[in-house]
Amino acid sequence: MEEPVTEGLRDLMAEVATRQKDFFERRSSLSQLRVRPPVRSATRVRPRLEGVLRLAPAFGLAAVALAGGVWWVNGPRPITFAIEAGTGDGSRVGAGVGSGVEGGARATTSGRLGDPLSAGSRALTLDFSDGSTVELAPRSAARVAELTAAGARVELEDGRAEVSVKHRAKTRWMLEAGPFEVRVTGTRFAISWNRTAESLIVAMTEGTVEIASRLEPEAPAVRVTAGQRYAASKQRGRWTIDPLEAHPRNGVDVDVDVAGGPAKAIPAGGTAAAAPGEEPRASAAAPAEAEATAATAVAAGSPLLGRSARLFADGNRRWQVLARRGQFKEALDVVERGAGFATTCRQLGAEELVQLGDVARLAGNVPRAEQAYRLARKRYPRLDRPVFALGLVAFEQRHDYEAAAGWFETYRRRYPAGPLRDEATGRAMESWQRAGDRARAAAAATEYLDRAPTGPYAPLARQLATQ
Amino acid sequence: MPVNAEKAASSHDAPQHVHGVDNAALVAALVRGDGDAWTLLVDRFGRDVERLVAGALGVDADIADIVQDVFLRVMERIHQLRDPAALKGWISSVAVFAARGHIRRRRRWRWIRFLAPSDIPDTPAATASPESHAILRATYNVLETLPENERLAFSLRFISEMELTEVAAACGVSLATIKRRLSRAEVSFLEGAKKDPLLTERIERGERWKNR
Repeated sequence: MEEPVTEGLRDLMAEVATRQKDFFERRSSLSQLRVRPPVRSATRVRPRLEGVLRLAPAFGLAAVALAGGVWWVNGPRPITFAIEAGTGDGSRVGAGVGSGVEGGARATTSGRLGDPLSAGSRALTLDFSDGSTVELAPRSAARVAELTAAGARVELEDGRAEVSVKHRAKTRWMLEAGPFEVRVTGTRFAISWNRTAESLIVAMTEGTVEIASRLEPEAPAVRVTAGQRYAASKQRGRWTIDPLEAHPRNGVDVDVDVAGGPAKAIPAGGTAAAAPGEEPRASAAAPAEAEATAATAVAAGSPLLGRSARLFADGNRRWQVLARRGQFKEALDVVERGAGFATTCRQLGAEELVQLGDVARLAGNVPRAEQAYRLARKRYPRLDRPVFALGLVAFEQRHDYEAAAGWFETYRRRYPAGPLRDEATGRAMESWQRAGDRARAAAAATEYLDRAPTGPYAPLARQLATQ
Repeated sequence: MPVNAEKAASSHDAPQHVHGVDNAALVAALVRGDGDAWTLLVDRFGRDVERLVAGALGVDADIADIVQDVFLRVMERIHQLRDPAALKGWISSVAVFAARGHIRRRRRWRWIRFLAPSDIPDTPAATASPESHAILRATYNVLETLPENERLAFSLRFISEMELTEVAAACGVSLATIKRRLSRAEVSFLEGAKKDPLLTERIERGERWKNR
């Protein structure tokens, strides 16, 4: 027999193929490859060892000389930027002042390194040649302090800016505000620096930044991810990270207030109270939330880059590295022994919080997995993954098929266009079947076959639909 | 693109028209060194090569380099291609050759790391879920234990989702040989998968469906 006859193996391979495809589609290098043919010397494929070692020193010298020559002749050029400012609105670009033309006209000029830039009554936009933009809010001041081939260093002297940094292979962007440095590799965020109060707010829309302070150069940088708001005050010597949703507008329109008690960092009541009857196990969220709240009391209002901050920053990197290696138990252990599970949950953004739940689930720690997913669901109600993941936990680990079916049905109802809709339908079908509810299983099977007749659940769906 | 389809050599196989240029015209343009031919080559076959290499190797930091190397080899040897209609199969065989070479090199050099395969760090993938990582890693850990010819046949057929005839052509062996390799690979894979609860759970679930 030439083809695998094992149905389970066929299903597993279909899943692996899908995941592999998804994995590499996001990391495809073809868009860069198609631009121009590479030369043989540019590839990193390892040469054969035999015979090469003897000539290695000569090759090395030649390569260094060649690379130096190529770089000298055709080295990377620093990026440039243009300034789009309103005329007659009081904007200042370098030594010049807006021309006084009324009527809201916009003028574009080439930007120069080090020139003071201040927005008047309207925003002033810096367009960088790498595709990045910095939009200075009205009455804000900044200067471009450095331009390199990989990015720029912009000093926000006072006020607010919307930043969008285009991600490239070696992006190196930095925003400076007072003693704080915000390191960026590709993201969108809003930043606000109050020079008088010496307070900083960073509200993340996309991606991740690292924030370091020159006040404590030895301390590790703090990672802030999408959906989080970082606030720090030099005078009060404190910083907090909390969900962006808990703040009005874009999270940077209000002055920094990190001096208050723990409640300041906790969104009152959360933002995602579920509708009655929606949660299969509604009451289970309460203890986890209470624990997280208590833990936040420790984390919020920490001394600037103090012990809690260090533990979080260190641990946050380590558990993710371990998780990427598939060492889920070790990753969870790092979190538990570091800043603590609940504290870490409170400080993570949406994507990372779900990821931590996945780590706990794959490590076999069901309570911790549910704690992270439930918190993610409460804080980020538009996020579909926590609901699906809670269904997975109920199905695969608790073997509570009725509860699992409830979660998968919730997913189908709340996220009708969600990326896991078909998977949720298939899982709901199987959960109902195992829970002994043939009618609901058959209904889910019929819907599954309508939507995904060749999907991985199709064989089971055909059996159930005809019963 | 400065490639005139009408001037292209006649092909006895069904030509693949993309952007109005068939494979014979594309080969002729590559041999002449036309500037846009490279872009068309990557557009037309890039996905297939990437799928094949990624399927054969799994989560590997060198995949982008290997894909690039495949296209370099194609460019260097395009003038040796006798039948432009066989371009796709020929590129697949170049890709299999490159992937096999990489597997061998990796196995040869593994001793120097003093690490088990599961400990070898891979490149960060911010968008991939830990679950995807876990399943891919578990699958390729088992594939790593298979002889390279069986591993290649198995991964090309079931992960890269190539047809049997395509797998046979890419590996440069007969259909019967590929079928034998697949059969042996299935037995070995199932045996290896028994040691991993993540894989076992999934395989058993599929079996339950079949037996129901």
